[in-house]
Amino acid sequence: MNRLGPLVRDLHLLAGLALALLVGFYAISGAAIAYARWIPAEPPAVSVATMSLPRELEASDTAAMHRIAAATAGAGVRRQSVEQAGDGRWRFRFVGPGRSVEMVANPGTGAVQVTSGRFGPVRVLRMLHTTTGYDGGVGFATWALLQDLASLAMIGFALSGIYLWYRRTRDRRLGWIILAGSWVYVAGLVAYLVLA
Amino acid sequence: MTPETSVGRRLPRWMLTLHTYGGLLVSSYLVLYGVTSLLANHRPNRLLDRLPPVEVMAVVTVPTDPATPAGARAVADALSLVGRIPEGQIRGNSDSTWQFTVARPGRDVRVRIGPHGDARLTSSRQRLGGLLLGLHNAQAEPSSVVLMSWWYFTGLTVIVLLILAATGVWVWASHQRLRRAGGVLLVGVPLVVAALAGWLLR
Repeated sequence: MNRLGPLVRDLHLLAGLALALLVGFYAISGAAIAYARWIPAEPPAVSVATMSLPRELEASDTAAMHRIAAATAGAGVRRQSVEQAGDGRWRFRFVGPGRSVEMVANPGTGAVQVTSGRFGPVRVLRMLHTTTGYDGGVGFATWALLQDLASLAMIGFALSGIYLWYRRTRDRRLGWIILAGSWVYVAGLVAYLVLA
Repeated sequence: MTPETSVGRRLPRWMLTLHTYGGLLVSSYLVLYGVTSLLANHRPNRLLDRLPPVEVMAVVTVPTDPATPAGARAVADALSLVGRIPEGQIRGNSDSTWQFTVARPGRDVRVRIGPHGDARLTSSRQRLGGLLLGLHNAQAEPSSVVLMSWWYFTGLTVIVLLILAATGVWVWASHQRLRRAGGVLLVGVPLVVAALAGWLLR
């Protein structure tokens, strides 16, 4: 093999060791999603709490309401939606891999109802798989970065693996058959979905 | 036909063969999922936006059980529409029509049927990025052989991927080189990931 071969081999090996478990996690959690009919998720454990808003808070103080909502929801979640009804009530929804929080605040009465849902293990697995995007703070951004690394690793493993097979194998007939079958199937499926 | 190997004698030849050909088998899937994962994480509108909807008219036989999952499936089959029919989108309308949606990766078709079998099909296609992302998220759809084949291929890839990880670690363990660096990565990265997941789940 030329000089590129050992480099590709070592990268394939070290990247594989670094990211194999992460990729394996995504394989298992992806299966929990794809086979959801056979792996039902438990209903969340729900708790409801009430609290009061600061007396001096105005209904129109949007920034303050957002701050209170974020502080109430806590870490590990990020805002999913916010609505304000005609009567001035606010409804905030936050969600994270492990739980959800809904906060309904009535600035007129100062009453706040917080409904928290703690997810079971199957749903946590699915949520970790589908939690994407860099918004929501350092934790979510770091998780998104790991997802990007896992994504790049999957592409890199496949391409470097093909290269290594091609460079290290004398009789490539079986490999060509398997490789062609795999790519023709996927390309054909995509073409079918585009054209049909 | 087996790959050459320069690794230590402790590595069974069949293990490297399994790793190599298993990898070739799922290579297309890995590239597709790697690309679509990047799309999911970054959501570039230019690749994911829907194209303008297209409407066509058709005539169908009104089923005996309209506005039901079975009736919707019968109409979808008659119109050769492939995909999932979300039950929550099957509904009757106040003007005696009823409607449902057939969804598959890359295309949603809303079907609105009148009392005499006149059907209006509103087809909304996605750009290639959206189609591929839809394929990433595809569930089992027994009405379609094509979509079911993808679902089975997904299951096969999960198994092969786990085998690749296990055999890959074994290959590394048979190397005299890269032992220390590999060990640090093998243990260190999962610890970081687990710590982060624990933080997100608190």
